[in-house]
Amino acid sequence: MAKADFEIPDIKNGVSVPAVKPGAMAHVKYHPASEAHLTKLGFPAKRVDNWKEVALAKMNELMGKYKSLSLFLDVCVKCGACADKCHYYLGTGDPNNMPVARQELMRKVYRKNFTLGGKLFGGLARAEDLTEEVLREWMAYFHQCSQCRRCSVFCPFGIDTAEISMAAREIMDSIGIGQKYTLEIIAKVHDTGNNLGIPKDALIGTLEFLEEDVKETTGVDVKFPLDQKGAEVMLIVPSADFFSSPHVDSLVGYAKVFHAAGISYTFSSHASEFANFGMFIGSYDNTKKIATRIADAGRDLGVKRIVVGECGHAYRVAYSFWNTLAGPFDYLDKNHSVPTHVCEFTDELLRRNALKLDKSANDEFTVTYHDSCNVARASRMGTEPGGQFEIPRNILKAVCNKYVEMDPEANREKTFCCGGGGGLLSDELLEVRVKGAAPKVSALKEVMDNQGVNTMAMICAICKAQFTKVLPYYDIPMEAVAGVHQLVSNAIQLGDK
Amino acid sequence: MKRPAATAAALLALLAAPLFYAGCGNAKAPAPQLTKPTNATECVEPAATMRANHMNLLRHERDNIVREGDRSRKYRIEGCAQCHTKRAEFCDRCHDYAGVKPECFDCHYLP
Amino acid sequence: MGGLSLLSLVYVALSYAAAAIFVGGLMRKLWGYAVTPNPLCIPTTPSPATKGGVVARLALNIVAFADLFKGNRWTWIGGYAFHVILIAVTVRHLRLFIYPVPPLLAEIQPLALLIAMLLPLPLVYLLARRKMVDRYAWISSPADYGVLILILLIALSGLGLKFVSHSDLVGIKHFLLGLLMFSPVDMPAHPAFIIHLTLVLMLAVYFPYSKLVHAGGVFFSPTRMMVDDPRERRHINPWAAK
Repeated sequence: MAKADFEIPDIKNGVSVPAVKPGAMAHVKYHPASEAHLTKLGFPAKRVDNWKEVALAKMNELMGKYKSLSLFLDVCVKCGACADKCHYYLGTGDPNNMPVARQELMRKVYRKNFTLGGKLFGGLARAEDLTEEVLREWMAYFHQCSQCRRCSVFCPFGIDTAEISMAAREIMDSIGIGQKYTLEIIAKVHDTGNNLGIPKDALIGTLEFLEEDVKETTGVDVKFPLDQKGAEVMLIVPSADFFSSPHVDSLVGYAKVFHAAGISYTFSSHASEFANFGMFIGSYDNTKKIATRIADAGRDLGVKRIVVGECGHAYRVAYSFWNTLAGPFDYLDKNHSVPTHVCEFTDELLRRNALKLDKSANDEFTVTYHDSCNVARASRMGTEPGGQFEIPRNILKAVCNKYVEMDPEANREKTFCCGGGGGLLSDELLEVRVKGAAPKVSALKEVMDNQGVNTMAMICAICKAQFTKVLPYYDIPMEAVAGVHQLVSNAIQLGDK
Repeated sequence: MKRPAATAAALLALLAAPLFYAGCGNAKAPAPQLTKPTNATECVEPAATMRANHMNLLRHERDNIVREGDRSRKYRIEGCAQCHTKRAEFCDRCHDYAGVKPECFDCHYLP
Repeated sequence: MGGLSLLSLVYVALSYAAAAIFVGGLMRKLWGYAVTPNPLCIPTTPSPATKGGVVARLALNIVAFADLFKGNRWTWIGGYAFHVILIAVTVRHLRLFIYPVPPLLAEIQPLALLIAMLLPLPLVYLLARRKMVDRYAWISSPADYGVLILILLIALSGLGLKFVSHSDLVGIKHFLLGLLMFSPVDMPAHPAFIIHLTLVLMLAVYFPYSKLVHAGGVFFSPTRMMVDDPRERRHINPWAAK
């Protein structure tokens, strides 16, 4: 078991709703962003002197721009239906990790400064000014929200804490205090086209290596083309797929699927990143800039379709926001969805019986599937609502003989987040991540103990990175983590080999 | 919301509906018109008490009279009928006005 | 308005002021929600891909509190009972604002009374819930208890009027119709009625400036009202330069 200097939640008997432990996670601090990164993204280099006024003005501006924010600050009746739904509350017991309480951190400032009742009877309404102390709470607890939207499923008014935490981060950025992890990554994607800062030469090297590697293991010339003008498809993947494990195994899977389908595709060196961290910090401009870069890359390459890889929040941005931010995608073939998820792509081939599969290649695995939060609750695959649940499962059942479902109360629409999404996948937030993972790990452990599951498949780069890191804290080997197309890769039969 | 003005107008109309129903304007608020008895000027209790409490007097007395057989009581529905001879022009006017359906007349017949 | 008693004068003025604040405040709030744009498409999925589907889901949410049912059965029982009973309470009061009383409305009064008189039960339940579960106690502010207590007092004073200290119901209706038709008449100077009316006016004034706007706000929630079709139909952000 990995060692930690904090207490690992006990999940032997599942995860039950903890008693309220005020301040349990108040000590968590993210690393502050550098002046260079703040400036580069259009924010003040350091905390401005009149930060309170600037913050309130920003809040007012955002309430005028976002119906979600202005409405959600008003209509919460504090029924508490969300209180036991957040994985961070379940894992930590810190009451500020109850979605309603997290929202209250902004709502109390809203009441104090923008409502008559709050101005007149501050205490009775729990209205509070934006003090240094409150700002500290914002910094701590708006970075303990992975914007997974689980709370919004159960809210009678559909209040989505993600909207609040995005706005809070935008406000904090606008006064010159930001989180290093997200801002640094956004700066990199603007500079290099990907979150890791991989230069083009390194990308070429990786893709060449993968071509050789696949040739060696399969004997087939599977291509990993870069910047190939006139290709039918541009494939956009999270840059982790190029370098991280197990991510890269899914990348090989995508390439094999394209090979088997006989459809030409290409990566882009200009836009070699699917992830869009602009959304994490609620920055419309940065989200748009990243999305537009991808749209431009596709236009320059002259492709007919854009297919996207396994990534959760990124798929939300692509599915829900691309058309608004970077559309219309006039240059693409109208007969295909923009974007097409690689699972939709593979699923369609399966339906047409266009792939040759040997399920027994995955016989060493008993597989379960983890619904990534933003795929589950902020996007769709196929034409029917809920296609985002069925399509990846169809693929898994097509490529594996042994497939097992986890507790539906912890999956599908009600899926628990991995604990690392929304800009939290950073080392200094490890305690939040490990504790927040408890509800999902508990559901996994149940099927591991009772049904012999040894592999959890998923379609999100952050989920993969998070689980490989935190599962060992729960005595589960990181090898349990797999990409859906990693398993496709194992089973797919190429050529006549 | 694509047509905020239309939505707002619809909401306003909804909120104002009772006004139109009541007939907004210079009209006076309707009140029940009662035909008052000619054979007496005073009821068994002051009018204000009777307006608020006649049903309590009658129900209370029902128990004394019907269930316990004491017919010497002050409040009796036959007593009412001595003066208020036309139910339709007295009792019903207020009951209809306020949407009250008393059970008295399920058994008692008043002309 | 000549000839009104001082009490009536005061309450006529208070009633109109409260009604103006209620209607004006609520309209301003709802107008604000209506005109504030949705820059991005943010339905919580899985979500209907058609307008009809969205309306059907909203209807289920309004009629049955479906999302709350999913969220917490114990809260649902209390909240749902409270709101259903409020409908019965409305039915009981509607006859005092409508002239003449439609026969059907008169017909269902006994049934409505049976339900309406239960109003204190869910209120006490909801109050106890806030006190007894540590999570709810943590999130509850004096305002959250206060509004429940205010409604409870309104319910008790109303039940008092019905079961303890009768007032001149015809006089009350005459007074209310006078207010509605802008030709006020005297109100019955009955203590329980004065208390009841005063509390109701307080609630009306509080309504638009509190969480009670959820009553109208629920129709504007983007995560529930937006159609899940961003790939099929380009959602335009009204404030983006384009």
